[in-house]
Amino acid sequence: MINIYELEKKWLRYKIKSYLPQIIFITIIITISSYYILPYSIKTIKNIINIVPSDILKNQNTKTLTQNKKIIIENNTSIINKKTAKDDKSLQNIAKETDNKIVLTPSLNFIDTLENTTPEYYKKKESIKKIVVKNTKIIKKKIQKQKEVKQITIKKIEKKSISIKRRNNQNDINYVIKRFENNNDPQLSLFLSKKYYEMKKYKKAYNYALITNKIDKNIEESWLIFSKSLVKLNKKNMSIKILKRYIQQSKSNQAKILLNDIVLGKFQ
Amino acid sequence: MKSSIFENSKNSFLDNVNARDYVHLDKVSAIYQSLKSSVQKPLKMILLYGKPGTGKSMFLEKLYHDLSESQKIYLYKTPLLNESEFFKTLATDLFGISYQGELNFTQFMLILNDNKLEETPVIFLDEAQLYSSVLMEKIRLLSDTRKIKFVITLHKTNQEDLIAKEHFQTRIWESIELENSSMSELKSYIQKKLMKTNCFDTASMFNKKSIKLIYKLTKGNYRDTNKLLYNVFDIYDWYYNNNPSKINMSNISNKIIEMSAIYTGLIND
Repeated sequence: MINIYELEKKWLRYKIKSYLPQIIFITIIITISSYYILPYSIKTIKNIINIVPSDILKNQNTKTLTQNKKIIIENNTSIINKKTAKDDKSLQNIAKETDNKIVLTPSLNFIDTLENTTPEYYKKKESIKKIVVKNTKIIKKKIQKQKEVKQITIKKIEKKSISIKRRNNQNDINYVIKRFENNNDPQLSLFLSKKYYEMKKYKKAYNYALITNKIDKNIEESWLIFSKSLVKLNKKNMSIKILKRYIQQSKSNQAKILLNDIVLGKFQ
Repeated sequence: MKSSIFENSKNSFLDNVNARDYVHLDKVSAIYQSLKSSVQKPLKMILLYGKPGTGKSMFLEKLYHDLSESQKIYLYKTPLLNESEFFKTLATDLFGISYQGELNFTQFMLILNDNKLEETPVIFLDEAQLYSSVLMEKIRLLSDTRKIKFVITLHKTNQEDLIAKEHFQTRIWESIELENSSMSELKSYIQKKLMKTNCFDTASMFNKKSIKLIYKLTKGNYRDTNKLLYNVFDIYDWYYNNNPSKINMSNISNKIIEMSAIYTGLIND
């Protein structure tokens, strides 16, 4: 027969034993954490106490000072009345004692320390504010300078770009003419005729289109610019004839459209 | 009465080796089938080994129960340590000859040669690790005649492994190892065992948590599980009769399992 009561006791002991390592572990952690956290918490409490308004402390201190003084005066008179100058020495001692008591009244030095120590957080804020103000001023100056520099540079760039454009056109054409003279490439002569047509130099455009056509008769654009230039040079009939001949050869749609425009007077 | 449920449940975990108490588990059934087919093969010896409490004796008992009607099988549950007594028992069982005096190995061999057997008898030797090495050597020689087949069970310990190596290594045709159950097997073992005795209420009281604790305590050993649960239901029975408010009828209490483990020595308090 099992003795259940005894077994329950054994089970309880076993349970305590099995949980013992966990309990020990938790207590160790708590003690270690409290060892490190407690001093810190005491410091914070002290700081909170120090933050109590100095005015209240001052008032409290002055009150206690007057109270103490009153008590001391009362004590002194009572002692003087009682002993009535029995012993000069004893009076001197009492006077010394009263002096000592006044000396033992609460010190106000901590107020000075408070003024010196407490507002670190605010000091930081003020310093940050100053730094921010300084920084904003510097940034503003910098931005202004940058703006000025930008304006100057933009102006410079604009001036430069205009001059480059003009030079480019002239330089390009001269350069292309030189190259064309060297290699007689029809693409170069076509480019020159196009350029001159854009520049409304229709004679030059007509000449270079003709040159291109002589080199290579299959370049359609040379035919079109040639006939367009002729129209611009008031040689509309000649232009129509040439276009018709080209259309017979190539059956180009673009040439047909241009011919139609010239005949109808849409292209002038 | 509810108390009878705990009483019945308790009795279903009595550590009896009885073929009727055999519980069919998937893994165990597979091993059993392979052992059954091995017995029917023309093998000289079959070794069944494993740690104590893994069900070797139950296997042997079940096999004997299943095959004894169709085959000539003799089960020796308790070892016959005296050599003369061993051969005398064999002579009586196999040939129906009873000897008054001593019977040694050579005399028994003469009897074996003189008497013809219609079929090869199978001798089941449980707890074979208790036989002396001299007697084991003689059993080996007997199996070499192919006139008698032996199925022996051994505990798996270092020393017993030595015996196995020395005497059977070259002769054993089939060796089957039995292991402790897994957690899921243990759960079905417990529940099947309870259901066999119609203890459905207590079978449903076992949940995953309690099975986990039982497995932790017994490591899946069937004998330890039987012992533990026998005492669990004994404690339940006591509470039911003396302090029923302390027990929960829906779940098996871990406290009671632990109390039983302390009582059986599975936990050292």
